[in-house]
Amino acid sequence: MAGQLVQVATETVTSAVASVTLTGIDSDDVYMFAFTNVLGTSEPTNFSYRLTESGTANSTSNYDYAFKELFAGSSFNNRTGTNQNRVLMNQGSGSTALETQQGILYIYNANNSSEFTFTTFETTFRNAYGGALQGAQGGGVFTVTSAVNGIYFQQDSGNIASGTFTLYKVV
Amino acid sequence: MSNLRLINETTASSVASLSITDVFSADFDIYKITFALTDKQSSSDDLSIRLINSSGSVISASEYDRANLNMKAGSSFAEARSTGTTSFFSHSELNTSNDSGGALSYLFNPFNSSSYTFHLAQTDGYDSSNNFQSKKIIGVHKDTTTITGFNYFADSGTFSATIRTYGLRVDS
Repeated sequence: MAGQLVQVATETVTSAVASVTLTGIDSDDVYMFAFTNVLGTSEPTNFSYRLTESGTANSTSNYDYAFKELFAGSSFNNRTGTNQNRVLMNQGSGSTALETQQGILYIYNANNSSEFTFTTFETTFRNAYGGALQGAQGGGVFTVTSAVNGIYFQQDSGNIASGTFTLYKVV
Repeated sequence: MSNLRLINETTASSVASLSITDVFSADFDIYKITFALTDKQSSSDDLSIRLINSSGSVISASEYDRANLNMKAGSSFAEARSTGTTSFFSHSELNTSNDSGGALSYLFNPFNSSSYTFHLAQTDGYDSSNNFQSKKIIGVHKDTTTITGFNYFADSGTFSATIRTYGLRVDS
């Protein structure tokens, strides 16, 4: 039935893991990814993502991204990257209690092996620099024409200590 | 059944403040709120959001941090930020002739008494100089108290709007 959000996969982390991978993208629909209460085990670090092909994260230098960093305590910042091996989404994320990360990410054309896979994201978190409020608003592209079936998240240093990650299909 | 569950729909006409109560529970960690503004009286005015605790009180203490990127069609973009303030951003400097607009907010972990409540939003409308403006917004309420609802209010004047609250269901 059209006009629904359908859960595809979910994972709740309660003890530290190196990464979280959610797969299940198998149609040409738009997919939405939501995460909340994500905390790392070390700080400061970046919370980043890669896309998976047949369940394996692609770590080749084929990610471009651009986003605005918003700060409640200082001037905003532009972040960009071309030909990177991941999208560095939340830069300066923390491991102290209550420095959690939250966000919504949309994935477009993932299942289409003739197109690049595009993402948009918006996040909010308290960073590792005294718990200041920070957020990211922007997007990325995976510049490979392959079928993407999921998403892989990591903290660039340390592990993911906690968080709930859920992938939905927008039908 | 969709994992996006409609919890409440409220339509208000010419009000200065509107509380949506008892919509947050342990059933959901993430809520999506749509706000369709159809009328705003009193120009150069802001619409803001406060949280409501489990006792039913609107939280107006200086416990909110917030920031927004204000993108205007007729002038330069602007940054706004506050720490230790009394509400989340929504709309600002609203126009009373071109007085409609929209907003989409997400609230994360409001009912969770071990977590702060985080806010993400995007809004649009016309400012008091009749410039179209769109905002990207972040916020956090720095208290772990249980939140069960929210309040939209105007700094002055009244507004009319339809507000829908959805829960994002996670089936484990």
